[in-house]
Amino acid sequence: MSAIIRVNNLSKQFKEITAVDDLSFTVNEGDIYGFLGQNGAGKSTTIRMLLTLVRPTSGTISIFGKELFTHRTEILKQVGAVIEKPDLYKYLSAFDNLSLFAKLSGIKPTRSLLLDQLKLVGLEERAFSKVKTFSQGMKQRLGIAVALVHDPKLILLDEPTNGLDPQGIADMRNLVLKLSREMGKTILVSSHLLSEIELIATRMLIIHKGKKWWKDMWRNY
Amino acid sequence: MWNLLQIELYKIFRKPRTYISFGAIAAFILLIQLALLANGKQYLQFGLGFLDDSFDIPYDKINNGYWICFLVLNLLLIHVPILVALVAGDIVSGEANMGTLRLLVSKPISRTELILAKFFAAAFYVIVLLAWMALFALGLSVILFGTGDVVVAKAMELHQVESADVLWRYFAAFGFAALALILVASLSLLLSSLSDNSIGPIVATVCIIIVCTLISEMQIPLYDKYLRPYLFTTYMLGWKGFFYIGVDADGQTIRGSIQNFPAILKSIGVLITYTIGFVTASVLLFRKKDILS
Repeated sequence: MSAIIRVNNLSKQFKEITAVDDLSFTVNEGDIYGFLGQNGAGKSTTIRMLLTLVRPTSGTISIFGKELFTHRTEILKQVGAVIEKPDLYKYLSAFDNLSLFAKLSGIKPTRSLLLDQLKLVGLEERAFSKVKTFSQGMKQRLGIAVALVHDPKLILLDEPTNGLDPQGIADMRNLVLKLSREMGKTILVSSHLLSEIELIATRMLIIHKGKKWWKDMWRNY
Repeated sequence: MWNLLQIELYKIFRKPRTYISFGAIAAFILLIQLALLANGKQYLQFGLGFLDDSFDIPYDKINNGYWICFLVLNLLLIHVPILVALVAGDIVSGEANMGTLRLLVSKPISRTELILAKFFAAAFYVIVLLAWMALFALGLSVILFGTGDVVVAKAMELHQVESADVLWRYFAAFGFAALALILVASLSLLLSSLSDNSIGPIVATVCIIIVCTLISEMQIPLYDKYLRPYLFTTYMLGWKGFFYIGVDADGQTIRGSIQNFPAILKSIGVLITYTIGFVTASVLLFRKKDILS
């Protein structure tokens, strides 16, 4: 299996605070890679660095075998992400949000593609409703649709079950498994809930105060 | 880049807040027109009445659509920066506040392109806003009041521009105003790219413009020497220069002339330089910014 993400000695310092401290890990093709840690452990900062939102203080990140910050645009075309809360344009409909982000991801979306994508996450009946009328769970599902609309090879999900009810959490879990098993996506999913990660992850990493705390093979499908 | 610009324009014009400015401008101009329809002569007498003893002033002819447009621009162009700041000040920080900035920046687009697209979208908004203003201030005023010569005051001078010589001056004045307001948009963009909430950049832009305008207008020798020449607000009202007509050696007005064209060119140069400076600073700062919102 080839490495999709390779992180080496990654650190991020915010003034006096070390958010990520000498972190190294590898995510292989086809993995559902669980990224576990308490709130404030450095999971979101790491994911933000993987998406070039935050610049590392030191260390390197390569994705698809290329250095991330040098080949940023090329790499991000193949990455989809939900970063913490799925905040979208509240004054636009689900369809318009999806269309807008599809264009930003470099594709020319057709109406049928967008509706199919909304169907995948169970939002086809609310396609033309404004996002401000959506519940947290619906926003989360729309966030997933935005992450998937350009058919990325790698999906980064930062706390995707935050704010969801038990049914929403189960739906999200099933969607992640479907994306991995049926569509062959490589997924990195962060959470502070071990009980959630253990149900879906094939491998995982636990971080604490920005440092790697435990890493092991979890399960093989 | 074109794709990104279209998306930014789409977002601006789908946002309800954008239309506050259009409503405010239309309401303000309609109120002025209504007032001048009812009491135009008295309003003009208030300003020019001191000349009644020496001249027979044709108030009804002066109160025409062209002159009303000049009056509207004079009254409104000082306040329009506030309306521009409402949209441009929100253009980056509003996304940070809403949480969409992180999603936007994680897409395969360069940060430089993103900021430039936002700047050009704000500039387009300014142009549409001015076109709207022109429609009401010039178009509707001409329909309601007809055309005529424009009489404008400059210090102790009165300039009378013939009706046939006016229209091109308005095109030039609106073009100049567009540059001045695009500068305001670029300042708002810079402040917006530094902040994670919308209110701060909007208020900061308005405060900077008020303070700088006061310094520009105070005529204190110390400020005139050391501050005024370097403030962009000193050059923002240069559009009036298009209505100050040149005269020949006999004191006759020269049709199609401008009294001090080099001063207008200098103002244009200063406005463009400041705009480029603010946009460049926005790009440089945003490229290095950690998106934590």
